[in-house]
Amino acid sequence: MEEQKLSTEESLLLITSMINKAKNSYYESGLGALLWGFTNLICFVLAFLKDTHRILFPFNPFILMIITFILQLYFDSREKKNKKAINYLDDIHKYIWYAFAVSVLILTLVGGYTQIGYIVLPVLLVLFAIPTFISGCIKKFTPLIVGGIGCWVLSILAFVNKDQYSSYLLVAAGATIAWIIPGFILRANFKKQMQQEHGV
Amino acid sequence: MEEYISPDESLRIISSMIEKTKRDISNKSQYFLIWGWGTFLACIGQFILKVIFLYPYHYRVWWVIVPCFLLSTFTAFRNKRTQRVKTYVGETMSEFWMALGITFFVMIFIFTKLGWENCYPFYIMLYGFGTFMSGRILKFRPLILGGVICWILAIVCVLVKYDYQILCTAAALLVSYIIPGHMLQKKFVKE
Repeated sequence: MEEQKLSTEESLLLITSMINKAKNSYYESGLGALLWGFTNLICFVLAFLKDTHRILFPFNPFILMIITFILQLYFDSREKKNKKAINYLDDIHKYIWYAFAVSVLILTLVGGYTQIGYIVLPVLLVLFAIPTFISGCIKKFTPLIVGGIGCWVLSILAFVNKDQYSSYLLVAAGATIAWIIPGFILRANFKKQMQQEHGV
Repeated sequence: MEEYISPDESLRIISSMIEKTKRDISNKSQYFLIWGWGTFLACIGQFILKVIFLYPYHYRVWWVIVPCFLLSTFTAFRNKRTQRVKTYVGETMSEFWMALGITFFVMIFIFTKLGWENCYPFYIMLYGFGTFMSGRILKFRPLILGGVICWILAIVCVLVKYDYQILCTAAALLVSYIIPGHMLQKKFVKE
């Protein structure tokens, strides 16, 4: 049987098509960033309003995160079904967010047990920064890198902040710069790319 | 003229790249060993000074971080000079540890206000984050396992007295940096 020769151009096209098949639309489209960004923004603003007695809220606002978590599980399972290939980057990207989730869970447990109170908020911002910054570096996406650095700066502000309640607002601002703004940019890029690919 | 490569040649190029990446991975053991041994000895030293000798300035042993930092920076420069190819794994690892390095630095500010008596569970949690992710990036199971054990130790740590929290940290460093670091080094020598 004659050996099939591929031109350099053909090889590159093949590799590009494999990369596109492996793309994760949930993350690439910015949907994940927007979903978690808005959840955090809403929860922390509500927590601020509740703790400063500006509103009467019937339950702990952070319970709302359970809804987002269920949505996340649904999107993940849908993605798994549709996905034809997994690349190395997706794998790293997925695990960094898993590690972040475990760390936040431990922070909640440890923070609650040691009763450190509002100091937990700057630590949370420090944790926000790690996966955001790394995701930005891995995907070479500047808005996420800027978002990560912004969270580190906000965590120092939250730590020097005398008014403990307003630290909630700093975390809400962190969610906005780390996830909501990059999420919208990702979404716009994704739509543009889809239009180009489908020739719309 | 257009250059043609056969599927066989393509596979050979890919294999050689994988081999280079593997060597790059094994070479990362140096950093785990420098930081692992440095901080492990600081923990043991602090415990001995505080609990056995009742020395009031027991925390001074943490100045050991300075030579660790200098040594790892020197190693990084030396590796960069001799490195011929940039691998994806190498780049991802350096970006990841840069992020963790900044985090450790920011945490110093937070604990200066919060009080250092609460620092160990948080640092163990971050060691877990670092080693778990390094294990995933390098596809090296002992690091992943070390990371998971660190997370468990972070929770156990809050249940014990400060003195024993120091020992919990030493145990975390042993399972997450030192043991996997030596295993990684052995792999490197073998390869």
